[in-house]
Amino acid sequence: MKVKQSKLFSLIMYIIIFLLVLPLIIIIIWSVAKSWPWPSIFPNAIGLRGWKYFFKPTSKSIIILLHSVYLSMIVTIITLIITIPAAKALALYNFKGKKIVELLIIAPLIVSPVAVAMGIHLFFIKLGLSNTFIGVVLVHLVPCIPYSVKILKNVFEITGESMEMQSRVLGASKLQTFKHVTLPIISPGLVSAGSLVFTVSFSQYFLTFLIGGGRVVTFPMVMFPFVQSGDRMMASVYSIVFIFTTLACMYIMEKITKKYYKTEGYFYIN
Amino acid sequence: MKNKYKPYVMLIPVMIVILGIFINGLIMAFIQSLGYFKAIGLTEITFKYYKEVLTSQGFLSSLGFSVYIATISSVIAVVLGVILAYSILRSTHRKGIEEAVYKIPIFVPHIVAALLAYNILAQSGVVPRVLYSIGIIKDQSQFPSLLYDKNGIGIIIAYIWKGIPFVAMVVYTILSNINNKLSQVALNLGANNRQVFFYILLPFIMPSIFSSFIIIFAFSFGAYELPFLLGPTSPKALPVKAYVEYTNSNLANRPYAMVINMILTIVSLILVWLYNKSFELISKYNR
Amino acid sequence: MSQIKLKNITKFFDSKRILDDINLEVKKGEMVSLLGPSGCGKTTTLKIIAGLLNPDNGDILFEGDSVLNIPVEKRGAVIVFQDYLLFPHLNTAENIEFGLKMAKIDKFKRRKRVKKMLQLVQLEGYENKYPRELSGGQKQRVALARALAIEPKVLLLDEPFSNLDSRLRENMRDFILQIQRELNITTILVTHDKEEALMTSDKIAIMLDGKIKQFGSPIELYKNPISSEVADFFGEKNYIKGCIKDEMFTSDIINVKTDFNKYLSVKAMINPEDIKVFELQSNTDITGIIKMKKYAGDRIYYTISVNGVELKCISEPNELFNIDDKVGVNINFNNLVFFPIDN
Repeated sequence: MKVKQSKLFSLIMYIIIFLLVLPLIIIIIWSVAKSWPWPSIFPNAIGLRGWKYFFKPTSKSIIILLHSVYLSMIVTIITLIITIPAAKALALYNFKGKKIVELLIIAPLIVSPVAVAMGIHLFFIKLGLSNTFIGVVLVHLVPCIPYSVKILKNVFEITGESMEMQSRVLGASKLQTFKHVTLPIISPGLVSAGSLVFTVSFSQYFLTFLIGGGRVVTFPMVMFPFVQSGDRMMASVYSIVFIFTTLACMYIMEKITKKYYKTEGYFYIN
Repeated sequence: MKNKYKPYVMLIPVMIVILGIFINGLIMAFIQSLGYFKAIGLTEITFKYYKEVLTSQGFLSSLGFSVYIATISSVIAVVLGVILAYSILRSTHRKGIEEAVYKIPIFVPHIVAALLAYNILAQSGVVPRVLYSIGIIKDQSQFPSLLYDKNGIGIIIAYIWKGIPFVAMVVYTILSNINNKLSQVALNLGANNRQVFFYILLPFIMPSIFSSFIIIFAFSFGAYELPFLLGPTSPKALPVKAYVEYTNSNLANRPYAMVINMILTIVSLILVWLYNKSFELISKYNR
Repeated sequence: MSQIKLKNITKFFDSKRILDDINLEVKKGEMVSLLGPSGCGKTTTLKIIAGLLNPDNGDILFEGDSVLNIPVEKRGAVIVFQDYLLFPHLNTAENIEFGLKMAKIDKFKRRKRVKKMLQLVQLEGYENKYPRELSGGQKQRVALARALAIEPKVLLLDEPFSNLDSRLRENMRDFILQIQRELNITTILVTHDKEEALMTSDKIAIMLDGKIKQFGSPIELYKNPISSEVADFFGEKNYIKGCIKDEMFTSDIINVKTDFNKYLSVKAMINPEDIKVFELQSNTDITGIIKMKKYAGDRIYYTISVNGVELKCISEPNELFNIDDKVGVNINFNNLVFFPIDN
């Protein structure tokens, strides 16, 4: 009876996961389909035209991709830097107005970014921030902050302040404590927050498009017309690159963090 | 004394961004929605744009369309997401690659989701091809056009695809934390598995279900990309309609865009309030 | 000169008085316990000494100099916390080395010192183990070594044994005591365990509601508590109400001569171990009935009713009686302590 039930749940699980993954497999096939006419279920011929175009220097795809990764990395770093203290304050201290601050910080997750972007556009134009790299970075911070604060707040609630107190009584200054104790301890949380923030920034289309005004070109913006015009092969190539880049950046972030905090001061081995 | 101000100091950088861009943006949108737009000489504060927008048929059908899409897609995503989470929990072999794979759609942007929906549901997509090959339809044109139509099937499917893993992830995290402790007590007291789910687990995950519902509802209600790429020319989803008004070459049209934005915002603020309520519930359980 | 001196320390949290006029003197090399229930302000006192908190009033002197303006990292008062708080990303050697590294002591000296500390806490061979690979007792020893590595002026132990199971607790207690004596390091121990305080300390300060109620040697506190509040810390006591008149204490069950002549209305405290039960004989002056019996192997706890007054006593394991047995009762009057009854 029990075994039967759990098999049923396994089946449901695999069906749902299959339906979630199937569309991704289809774009992989599309990206290498040379000819795939109706009504064949598989392509008639395989070709790498899409990939060749993507890697051709004249398409500028790689440069835009790298530029886009660079922009999102900067957004990620700034977001982490400003949300670490905020998340800590919200996790560990009680103060007047805490509830309002929490609501304000979570609000960008729910309030339509379309409204915010159009509202702030004029202000950015006045300040000379629209159509600039900095302007796009600044506006990307808004949807990223809630995710980062949410994750890091959780981390600080779990770790508390006691490790830092221990470090201080052992003779470490505030700065030393932050560098040698706080950062390593919250580093797994930083990786999760960083990965999510990177993804959020890297996927932004509307904010970049409106505030960047076509001058700041990110990867989703070069991809958009292909999807819009229904060029399945090219759109699939860009989508695969997009997903792969996201996963690769997350992986690298995790590796670097792990390596940094594990190898530092390992001199007792030798 | 020093400690009293410490948390406020720590919050300054984040609050500069939130107040300076987010809140400022909303205030600017509000001011312009009242017809104050100095750049083109509009300085009179008026509710006439609200009146006009709120009584226009086009707006009302857009509002209806957005609410419809957000509601249907979020409800289905939540139901399937909870089923997926519970299935992972109950399935025999766990901790495998499945646990990571299902999360992939979370990291895929909505533009790609639009492509996926297009690949599958267009009249030349995978579904009509399969239907043709098993003989259900005889011709491409017999397959109903699910994209760019008034029913918004394509948009809804794309949002569901993005929403299921998100809900499943949130719910699974909580389920896997409470499962062993509480379910075993309940089973020991004589409850069967179905009762454990409905009387123990469901009440426990309800606040999280609710809060994740709010997040995906808010997103599908307020986002521009998917309805722009997959939606019909009429009715347009609210964010698309707002942008069309915004880019109108006649700048005097701006306030109309801002009124739509304010209505988007007001709905969102109600959702923020509901979201906050759900968190009060969560903290009540965790006490 | 005393190593550590607290003068009139007062501390508020949100207008709630946590510490109220704390005065304490600890001499060089002494082991002093702060004994009290949870929430009495013990840990707050430690944090104030270490500099993690600032007092709202009063002064702290180390070797005669005020340290109020010396920041926590320069103060040289290390706390070993209840849950050890080993840094999870550092291995044993790196944990021990932490304070030395922060003080920018050179690598060679650091290594030598770490080696010495590992020897001291008997953890040679564990240098590359991470905290998650260590047992509770080992973690405790690393935490101790880490604290001692920086040669603190005072070692502050915050409930150091409460996370260990009972046998390990006794071992660690002896171990820490031995190291404390060996290094002659001034130590303040916070505990809620009376036995721990009695067995390890040169002096004990009893804390209640943010106040130090009595400060003295273990024997002094046990034998001459200044109030029943203090006495109750050291286990269940018997109190007999009565009055003193003309150097005689009179009550329902006993009358004793005493040189104590201050109060009229008093209660006399008798330790359970000062009451013995024996088989009833014809010449017994005090008799009682066994009401309750708890057998604990090396001793037996009896509750006896004497003239309607219930007395608790601790008896030898060979004095076996049953409930409702009539027994003779012998009370050692030499250790009586009298407390005035207020009202």
